[in-house]
Amino acid sequence: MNDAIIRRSSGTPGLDEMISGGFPFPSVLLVAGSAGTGKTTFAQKFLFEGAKNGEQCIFFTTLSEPTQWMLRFSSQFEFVDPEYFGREIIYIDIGHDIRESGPHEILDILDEKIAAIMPQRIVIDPITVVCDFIENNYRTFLFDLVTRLKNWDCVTVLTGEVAPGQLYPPEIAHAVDGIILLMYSHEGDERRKYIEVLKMRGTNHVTGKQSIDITTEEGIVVLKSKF
Amino acid sequence: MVYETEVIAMRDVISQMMKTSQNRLLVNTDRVYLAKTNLITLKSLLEERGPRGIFLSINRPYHYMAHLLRIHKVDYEEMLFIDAVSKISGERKMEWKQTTFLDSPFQIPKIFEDLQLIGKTPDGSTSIIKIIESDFVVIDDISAIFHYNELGTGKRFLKEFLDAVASNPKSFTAFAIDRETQRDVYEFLADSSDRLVDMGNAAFMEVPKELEEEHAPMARPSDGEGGMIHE
Repeated sequence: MNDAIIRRSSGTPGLDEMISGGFPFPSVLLVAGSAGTGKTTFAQKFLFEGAKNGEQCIFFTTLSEPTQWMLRFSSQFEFVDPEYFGREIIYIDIGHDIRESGPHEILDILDEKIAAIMPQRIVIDPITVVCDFIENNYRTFLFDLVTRLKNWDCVTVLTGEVAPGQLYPPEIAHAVDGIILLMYSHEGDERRKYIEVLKMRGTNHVTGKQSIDITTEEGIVVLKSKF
Repeated sequence: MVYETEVIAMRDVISQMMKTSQNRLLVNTDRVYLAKTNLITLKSLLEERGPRGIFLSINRPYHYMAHLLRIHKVDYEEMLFIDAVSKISGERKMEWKQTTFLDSPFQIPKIFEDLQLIGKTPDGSTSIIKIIESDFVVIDDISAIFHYNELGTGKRFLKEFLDAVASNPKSFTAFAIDRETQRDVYEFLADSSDRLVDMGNAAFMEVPKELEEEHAPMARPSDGEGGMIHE
């Protein structure tokens, strides 16, 4: 059998080396962390990496903040090239749809947008707020969402907020192909940031926490020294 | 119309092939643009060859391509889908009247062996579908055949199929594959194809067979449709 896995760069310096060269294509990945750990920055860099290579990308923003404010803050990063806005990277606010629609309608809305644009990379940021609006069918919704996203032939990054003490949102974790954790750790008076690849199907990956930095040039950067 | 430039160029190639009794087209495409390439190829074939084509879906349930065709306003009313994965995909979607479902992709060699199958549509009616007599055959995706078969087995029945197409001037096939990741299969298919087209990342370029070795794919996005969308 011939099962060579195609990989796409994550865009995060140092991460591809941890995951056998990049994210499997197609796949659905969860990037989980508490507030301020860099989830949206990670997701943006992932899309700009694709755009740089001529790929078509969609950023679905849910209910965390209006696109306007997210773009205003992210534009401080040097990797954010306004030339890609509205061309290689399409921002779509589905907050209203999540508030007003049921799970089937939300899936159909995503299908319509994806079929029209035919992206190679998708971000849904954050996926966890959808839970508040479709509590009873959340697991079914996530299963259907992940299945459809994989069949749309692209790499999708779902970002997930975690509660204090929680590593990742458990309802999503079982459905996705990969889990990347972004986290803080207190060391003396310092608060340091780390990344950890918890799961990456079909991939030999580095285990354990790796130190990261967030720079204006590159966004998240995995530092060489291991924790 | 989306990808108009690519569809016009692809139609031109298909038209030229038909005039010279060529009927085996091979398209090189970056794997991540395979869906886009198949959409362009299908639209071109439906317009140039005729509406009664066959789309064999191995990699994902047929309804994804049907959805793409509908969204991109391609008329596929008379096209037949043969779906080898829906029954094992965990998905339940509305069934198109002209879809035949296989129990699994492992049944595919049998199709290539017989070049026909007993079609069973959702309304329960059955008929013998002669693959070779359709307006065209497209497989999504050809490299997925090798997920379910040994390389030698996959090559053997593809060769038999392409030989059968070559001996039947009424038939036509268009296969898309990523040369960079499936070089062995690509070269094997290229030997049995009449024309080679390079879509790279969905930008169109025809490759003369004699120059194929030196050719590098184009590296340019095909179009810039889209814009800021706020719901």
